[in-house]
Amino acid sequence: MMTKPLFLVVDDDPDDRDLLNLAYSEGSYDCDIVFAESGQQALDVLEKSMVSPALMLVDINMPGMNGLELLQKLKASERWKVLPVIMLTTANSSKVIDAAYHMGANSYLVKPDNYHKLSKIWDSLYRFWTSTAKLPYSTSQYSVS
Amino acid sequence: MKPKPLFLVVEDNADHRFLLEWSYQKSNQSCNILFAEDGLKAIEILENSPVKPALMLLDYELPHLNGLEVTSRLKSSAQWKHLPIVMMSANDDPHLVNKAYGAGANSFLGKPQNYEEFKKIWSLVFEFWSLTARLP
Repeated sequence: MMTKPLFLVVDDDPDDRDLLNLAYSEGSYDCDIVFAESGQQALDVLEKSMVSPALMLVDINMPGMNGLELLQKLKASERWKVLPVIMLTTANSSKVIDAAYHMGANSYLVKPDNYHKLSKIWDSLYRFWTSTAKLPYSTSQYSVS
Repeated sequence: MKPKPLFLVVEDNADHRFLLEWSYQKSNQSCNILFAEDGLKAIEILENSPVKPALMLLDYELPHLNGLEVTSRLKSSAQWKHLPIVMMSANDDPHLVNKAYGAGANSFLGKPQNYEEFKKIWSLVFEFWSLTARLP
């Protein structure tokens, strides 16, 4: 049985988490979503959980471990380096974008200033990564449901 | 007005280049595309041409250097490490998919089997990578 792909979203801002959850739940998407509130919590979820995400959406500006530091840890790990990591952040300078790709980010999205644009971004993200792209085998076999 | 991003498409199969070009023409053409017929020609374009692609669409089955070898070369180069690479292959064996991501491919596509699938997939590729994602 095919299971739904699981998206692990890492964002410290509760308002942004709520908006992402709304965009996800209003679209009837055939995927599951789980949130982590920090880079360290995301690592804990990955290391201790029995579920394995199909991809990660990672904010950059977070207290403690920021998103780029989390990205570097994941891409340096034999176990997690194949996991697609997509940055989702308000940081939109070309310097930060280039740095993220240089560190191995699979893609980069800028958080929009309104919900309508956010739902369009979510829709494009979902349609490309779940129905068009092939996700890594070992990270796409499990679901929280 | 912001210039359109350039996608460098590396594909040795003339029929597939034709389908890609046709799908591109049917899309909203939110990017420009440039073709290279194999991995060596693609690397030559990157090294010697003033054009700077924002993304590479890279076939896996290529003569001389295959897609994995091209990806490994570019991702170990300080100059081109940041260049997003979307690998595509008619072979979607899970081991190949994982190898591609492990070598640093940013995404992986199974090659479509007919015109309509080509058109649908490429419209989603162009939509996500040129309109939704931010490129280097």
